[in-house]
Amino acid sequence: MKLLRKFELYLANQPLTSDFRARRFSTKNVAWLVLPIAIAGVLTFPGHQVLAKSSQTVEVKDTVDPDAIKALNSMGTYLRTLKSFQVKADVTNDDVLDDGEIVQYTSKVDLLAAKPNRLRVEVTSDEKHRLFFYDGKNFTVWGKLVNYYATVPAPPTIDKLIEQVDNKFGIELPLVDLFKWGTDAEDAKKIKSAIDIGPSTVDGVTCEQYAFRQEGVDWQIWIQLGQFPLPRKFVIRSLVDEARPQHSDTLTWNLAPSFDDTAFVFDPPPDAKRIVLAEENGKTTGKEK
Amino acid sequence: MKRLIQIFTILAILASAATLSAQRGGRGGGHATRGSAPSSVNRNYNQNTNVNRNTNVNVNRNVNVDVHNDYHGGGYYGGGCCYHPVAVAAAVTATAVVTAAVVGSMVHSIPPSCTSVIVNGLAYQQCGSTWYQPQFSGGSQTYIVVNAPR
Repeated sequence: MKLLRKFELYLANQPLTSDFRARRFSTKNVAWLVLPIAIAGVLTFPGHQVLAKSSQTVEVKDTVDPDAIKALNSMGTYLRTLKSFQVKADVTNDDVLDDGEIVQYTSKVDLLAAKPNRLRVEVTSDEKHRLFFYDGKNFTVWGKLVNYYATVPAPPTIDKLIEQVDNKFGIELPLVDLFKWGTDAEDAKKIKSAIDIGPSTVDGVTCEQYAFRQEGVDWQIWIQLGQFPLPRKFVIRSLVDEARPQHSDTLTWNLAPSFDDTAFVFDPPPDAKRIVLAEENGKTTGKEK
Repeated sequence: MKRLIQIFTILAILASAATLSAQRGGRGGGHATRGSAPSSVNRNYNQNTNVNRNTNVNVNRNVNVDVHNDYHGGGYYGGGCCYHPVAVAAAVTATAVVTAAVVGSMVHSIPPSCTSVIVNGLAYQQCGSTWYQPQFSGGSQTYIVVNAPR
């Protein structure tokens, strides 16, 4: 009987719908079925705590911790001060199969940026090896395995390039948030919930972990503590698809990369063949004059 | 009769859209992919995107059975899937499903034993009388059927 009372107490603490609770009182059978789970829940105290914590978060909806927003802004401001950097990322990305099953893929990104108008990105995954070159004048995509490349005239800055290749060509360059954070105060206003999770270590570096919610995505970021508030890791979960696929980037920074201008210019190997870039509107560009 | 043709055309467009969306993320050994996780929090996850995706999924489920044979055959590896499904669907001609050799249709793989030909500095694949132009399309490398460039 004592157990049963505990069970009732436990259930009362759970974020169950009133509908479910009503049924609990009317159908004893259901209660007995759930009882072992409930006991397990009571015994596993830490797990129980987390559940309670999350239910509280639901009750106190849309809590924005100003310190979390401040940390995000500080990171953005700091990122804006970097003139050049190299960042390597270990990436995981979920695809959703037609029936909702999640399949995870991994890839590596090596990105070299010299602001405002030079960028080189290498993406290596299981089946693709892509390099993107941008020297302020032209943008080139090179599929190293297929050995095709396409070159098109490019806008004058990295920020505009990111926007154009996405909108016009449907090419989503990796790690674009590194260039967007701190550029638009409106972005922070999209955040509906912001929580400071606490200190967390990423690759031996002590960070502060934050969790945010905004339309369509829940995301987390690990920002390095101390003088250099760099993002060390971020995780994005889509809420648009009910399967909730997740993307994660774990970053390694080099704030003093060595490079010369040739790093941003594609010099095609003799056997590389030039092709076109398909535009989102169905046209193609990149043809020879 | 005219109406029948119209209906058929619409159906064919839907079917090819479904084929494409299935192909775009079709990495998992021929398994159709309906979407992928976003890699940026600063993209616009607005309602429109939402609607697009949903439409796509529905189309997929309804007609997949009919078009399955068209995209099996492998050779295609997608990724960066599905961010602009409507735009891509619009780029596909109605007859893409019926035959791959119609000018303007997009395919993810070409028949074996084609010849690589360079015309005006651009690469083509000539497969008999059919010419394919390779292209980067979003995160994928695809082919579009073109008129003979020479």
